[in-house]
Amino acid sequence: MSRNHNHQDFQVEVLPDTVASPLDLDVGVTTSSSVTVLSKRNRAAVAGAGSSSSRAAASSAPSGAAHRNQRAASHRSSAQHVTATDPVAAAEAVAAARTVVAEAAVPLALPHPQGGAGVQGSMENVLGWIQNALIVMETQAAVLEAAQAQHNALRSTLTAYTVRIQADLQALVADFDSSAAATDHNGNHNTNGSVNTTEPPPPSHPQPLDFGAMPPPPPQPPMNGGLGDPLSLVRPSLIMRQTSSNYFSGSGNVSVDVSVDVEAALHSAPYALMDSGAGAESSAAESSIAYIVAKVWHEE
Amino acid sequence: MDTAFEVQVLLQSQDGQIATGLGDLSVAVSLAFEGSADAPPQDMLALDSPPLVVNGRAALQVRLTDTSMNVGNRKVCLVVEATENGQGAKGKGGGISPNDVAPARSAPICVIRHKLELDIPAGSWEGQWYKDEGGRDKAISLPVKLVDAAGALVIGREVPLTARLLYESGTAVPDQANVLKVHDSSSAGISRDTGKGELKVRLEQVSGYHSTNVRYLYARTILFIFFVATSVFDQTPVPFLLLPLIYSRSNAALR
Repeated sequence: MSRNHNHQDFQVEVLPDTVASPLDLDVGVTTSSSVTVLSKRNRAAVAGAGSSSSRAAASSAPSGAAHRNQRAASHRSSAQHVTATDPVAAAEAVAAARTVVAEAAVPLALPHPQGGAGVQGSMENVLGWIQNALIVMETQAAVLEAAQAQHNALRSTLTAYTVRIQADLQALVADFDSSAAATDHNGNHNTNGSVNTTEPPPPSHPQPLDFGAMPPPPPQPPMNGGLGDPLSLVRPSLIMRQTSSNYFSGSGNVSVDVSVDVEAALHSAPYALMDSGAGAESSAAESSIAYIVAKVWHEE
Repeated sequence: MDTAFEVQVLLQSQDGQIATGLGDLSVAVSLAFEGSADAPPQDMLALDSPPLVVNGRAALQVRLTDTSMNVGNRKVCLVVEATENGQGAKGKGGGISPNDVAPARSAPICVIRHKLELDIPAGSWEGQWYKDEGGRDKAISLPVKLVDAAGALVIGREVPLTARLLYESGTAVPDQANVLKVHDSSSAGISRDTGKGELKVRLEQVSGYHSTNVRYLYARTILFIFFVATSVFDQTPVPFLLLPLIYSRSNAALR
């Protein structure tokens, strides 16, 4: 190497082989330009220079920057395959793509114009840097798309829940008003048969209902998926957990086995009427609750 | 060979300036071998212009009609000597005597018929070569062509090629056989049909032990230990104080 020779550069002289052909002594020699002989390329220089197409790089293994670009391309393709119906996979792709973006941000440092030898090497370095920058930008765009898809899926799920809750609350208020009106006008609670006109007006906020005094609901098919009679939805004993996994798990993620579809989420009820037969899923604790806003499914 | 080239002859005064106004001066041009008193055959030299120095300068058209190979592969030098005063000197009533003019001798010339030339596009030469990258097949490619004096490609001559490793200063690197290897994929030489060839060379491991730097590093270390030990055992700082002198001499040797 040059460092073993007082850091002198070398030249290669090409001359006729006069030993093999003595008559070629009348041929002049030529000498190459200077060349510095080194052992191996510095890894940091390789990362900064990007894809150099020098002879050494062409014959050697793929550089670190090229390998990183391949990884970024693979992650980009995986992120593009994520759809809005798979938010868990989208979240994983987002995390992976963020890692890749953090790694791929390194080549965004502008290479030195003289990183390669000559004008061609410099231009190739610049072009390689531009290519790396484009790859990083595409990867970031894929990450944003995946994050947007995840956001849309979660938003549609929450919208569905909001619609259901609003409908149920309206049904609660209507049921309470009708129950109060029936009590006032029919005097069912007065055992003496007289109407108590001094009874105070019902409070403005809903009170816990006496579900035991209510008549049994008419039989309805389970899992009907529609709103049906709003009054029938206010009875917690008739509420069963839907077998859908639109519930959130304990970790806050949507269950993996069910894709979040906007249309399906809108048309499928998070709560369904429970069949009054044996084996219905209703607990004693739930029976004492006026209204269940949501259930959290704990992941084992 | 056999191609005219121009040789500038200047008549200098003692102070290094061109001696003008001394009239014309006839000169004789001859050939001599490099570093030797004997001379090659004088018919090897041909002058296409009159050997006359006018107003202190002359541009001579010289041809060498034979190659150095035919004169023992020795380089030749042009020797210019003043012979007699020309017309100008007479007109000015003075002039310079030929005996007052010392002869001049050119640098050695190797007379060749054809020349090898690297066929590398401008800007494509790599200034750095990583010898430990790319495996054993990696080599420096040297495409070469054979041209004549006019730069035209020479067809019909086959020339086997070899290579030699030089320092940038032009000095040959020692231990050439172990340092520079001609790759097997090289062509046999200049092709008779194309006038071109390609040589691929590879620089093998160069031992640091043969490096001048490393040799002097070892020598300095030994000297330092020796002088320090001597100073400690003799309890005198004199040997220790000699170290700068030794180091300055080794530095001079390094240069």
